[in-house]
Amino acid sequence: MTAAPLANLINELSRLPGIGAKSASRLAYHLLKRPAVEAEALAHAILEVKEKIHRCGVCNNMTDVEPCSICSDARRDPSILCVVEEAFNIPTVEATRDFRGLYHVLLGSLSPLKGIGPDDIDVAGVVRRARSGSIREVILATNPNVEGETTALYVAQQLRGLEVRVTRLAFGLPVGGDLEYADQVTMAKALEGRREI
Amino acid sequence: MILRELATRNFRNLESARLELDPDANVFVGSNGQGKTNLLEAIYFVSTTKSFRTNRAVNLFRFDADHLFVEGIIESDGIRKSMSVGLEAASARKRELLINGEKTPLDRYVAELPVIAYSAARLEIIRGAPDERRRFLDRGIASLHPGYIASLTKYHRTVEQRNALLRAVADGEEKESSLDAWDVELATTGAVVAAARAEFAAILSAELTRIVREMDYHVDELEVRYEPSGPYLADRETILSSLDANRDREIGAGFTLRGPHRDDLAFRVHGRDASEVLSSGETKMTVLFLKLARVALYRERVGRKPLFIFDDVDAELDLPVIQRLMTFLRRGVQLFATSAKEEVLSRLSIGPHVTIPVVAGRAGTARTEGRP
Ligand SMILES: [Zn+2]
Repeated sequence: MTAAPLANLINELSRLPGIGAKSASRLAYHLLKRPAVEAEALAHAILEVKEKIHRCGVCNNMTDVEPCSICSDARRDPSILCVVEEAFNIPTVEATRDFRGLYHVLLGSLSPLKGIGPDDIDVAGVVRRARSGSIREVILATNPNVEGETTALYVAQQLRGLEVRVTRLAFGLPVGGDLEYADQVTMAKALEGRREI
Repeated sequence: MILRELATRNFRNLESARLELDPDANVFVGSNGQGKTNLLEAIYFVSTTKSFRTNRAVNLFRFDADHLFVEGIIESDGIRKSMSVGLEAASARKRELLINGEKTPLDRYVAELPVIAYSAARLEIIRGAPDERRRFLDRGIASLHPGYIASLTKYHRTVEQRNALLRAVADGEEKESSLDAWDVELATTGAVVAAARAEFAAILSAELTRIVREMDYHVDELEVRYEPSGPYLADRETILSSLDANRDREIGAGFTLRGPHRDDLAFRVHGRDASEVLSSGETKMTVLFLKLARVALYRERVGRKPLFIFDDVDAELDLPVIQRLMTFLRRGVQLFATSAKEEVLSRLSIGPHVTIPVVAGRAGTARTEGRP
């Protein structure tokens, strides 16, 4: 029988994405073996991130300042908006160094099977920013899978009638793939070859 | 690609052992129930991760075994590789696929060792429900274009998502207009699948006609025609307007009524349904010819030699035709066949091959025949 505090830790860890029961248990036993200061540092880092990091009020990126460092960077081009599903997709696009515009994070993609419809993600935020007048192009950088493609189609439909060029990344990625796993070169090509939809 | 060795553990009644195979032809002989078809099934399994006899993986485990494992040693241009499928009885849907000991995704794994199988279960292609024929089409296309599997998966995923949305709209949880984007995605992914199926059905039909003529078979007015569900071969606007016209009915039904998931392949003899016209023997021969057409297409388009699995050779009635068929196969497959009657085999000139007796799940000493 596992002692209650240990079982509790294993249970909490196993709720993290990508962590199964076996990995959770391995991590918990590892933490047990390490000195207390390490555990405190980890606990502190987790609490600090929850306390200091929030969503940017403009673009939904994760930030400790308001607005985020990208939104407030005067050297960036405010006329191009790159729309991604999740905040963790931003570093993938940034890694190419080819994109100097701004971002908008949708906070998910359309998935009727999970009960996620247009009102459950931030399409309204994209439309609002596109209407503001300063944006000339919206690049839809959602995942190249069924859900990401349909989300791109939906956003494009909502932007119809506005004086904005709407483009979609050209993917050399395997069909059904995920932006998260795109390397720099693939991502740069996807940006360069973007087409209007 | 040639299968040089086969090793099984806990697969049906087969003894855990390693078996060397002949690069040209292997004939497993033995009385019924000894396990000769299980060997063919293990070969099919290591190549495709599936069985040609059952859709239930639990049937493949040796009685009371908690895991099973099948490994093949394959060779191409003098280079040998191992490929293996492992299954746990507790979660038989999860397959562990390895090539040279490395985990490999399904689409890459199945492209490694192409196999085409004929067995009595395959008669369902003509007699069974449309989903048998869709599977037959899809396997054929995937063997020529491995990327097709991803397109098909994408289409099915879109149908699933759209069905969920149709129900949500019916329940008033989502606006009807949110279907627009899914309709476009369905039209796009569905058109890819329909185009691939139409093309494959056309080349298959032409090849079948050629083979039936070459085999000099009496049922020579056989026609194979792709019957798409919905206008997915038309342009995008036509597909979208048909979806639009059916929208209310689909919301009422709660699922996507038409599309490649409802396609069929029609077999006709003199314009009549083949399943009503053909005798049992003729049906067998026709399915066999279809398999030969797939072999010919694969060889022509991919330029490689597939494995051909031929279960129960002597159950086919038409010996002269079987003889012509064997000559045809000798030109370009690695053959794996079973027979219960050695005397029937001895009358067929199979060419250089090995005969392997199978008794109680155990493969005996191979006899080389027809080779100096
Ligand atoms: Zn921001």
